[in-house]
Amino acid sequence: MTQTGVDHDNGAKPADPGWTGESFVGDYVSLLKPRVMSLVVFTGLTGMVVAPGTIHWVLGLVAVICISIGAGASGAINMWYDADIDATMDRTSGRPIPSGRVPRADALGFGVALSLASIALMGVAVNWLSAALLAVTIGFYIFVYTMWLKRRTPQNIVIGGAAGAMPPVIGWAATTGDVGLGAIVLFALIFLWTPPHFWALALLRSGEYAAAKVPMLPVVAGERTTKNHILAYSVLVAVAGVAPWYIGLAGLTYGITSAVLGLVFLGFAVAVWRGEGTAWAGRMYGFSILYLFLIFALLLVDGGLAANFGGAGL
Amino acid sequence: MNDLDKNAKRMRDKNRVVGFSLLAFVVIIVLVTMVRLGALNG
Repeated sequence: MTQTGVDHDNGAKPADPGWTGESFVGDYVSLLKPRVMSLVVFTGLTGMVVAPGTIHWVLGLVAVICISIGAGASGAINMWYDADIDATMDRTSGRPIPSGRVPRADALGFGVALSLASIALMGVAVNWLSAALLAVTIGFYIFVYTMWLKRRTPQNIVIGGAAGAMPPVIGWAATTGDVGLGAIVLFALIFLWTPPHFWALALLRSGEYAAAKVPMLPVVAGERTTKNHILAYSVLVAVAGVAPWYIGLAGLTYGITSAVLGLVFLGFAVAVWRGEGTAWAGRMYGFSILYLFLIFALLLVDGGLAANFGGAGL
Repeated sequence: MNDLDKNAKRMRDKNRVVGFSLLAFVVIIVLVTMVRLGALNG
């Protein structure tokens, strides 16, 4: 029994409460969390492009596929483990396992097989450092975040965010064969962005998290403390967003644009902090996604220009 | 849908997913091998 009272002993848990036998191939695709995969592909590709050096386009494509499949596979294993929580929350109750379209055991097998295949393919096709980083990322997401932290501490997404921050590092390693300062800066940017992003969502869904016994910060420490944390992390995000320009990874246009985006991010955090209840949390959550997309899009364009025309691009 | 139909459908779905994955895996390995042999270096 975990500390939150959720039983994870195999056999004691309702395995497939309502498997309907009506799974489709699309259900297996949705086990991979395609929306998360798309963000992972994007950040991984950016890490690959902004890294110094070149990679053959076929190997680059294989690296992106491996990163996305690895991320998707860990998502499938996460759904296998969290099927009981998912069934209790509106946002996740339609997922393939709780809705009875895919048996839990199949989701586990699917996730494990794809994890192993993506790591092996990355090692054989690209290099073994990026394969090792991918393996560590998958293992961290499953064992450290999903199985250990998620149901035990309100710091779950702070520490677990490291897994989501790894794709650009893996992409960087795919191009260069090592991990440089630029990779660490990109890691820090996503790592610091993750808590305010998820806490904004958690403010909106605190009732569901409480019912599912997931100790998200608003559930454990309340709205005010969560808003304080969001504000503090948003300051760090605004600073980390400019860091790629500061270390010479991107040009001045990027530096100015990222500073403006960071200030807007901070503005949303202040609005959440000052607002009553969860008035601004939804907008903060939405803008946080746009922020990360724009920052990495700028870096991608900058890196592409630098690769094609030399020097810092934007 | 009875249990027999459910299991038959489950196997069909599984085979599709596994088959497609293996096909994609083989195509990628062939492409990577071609790159390693220099056949795709232009």
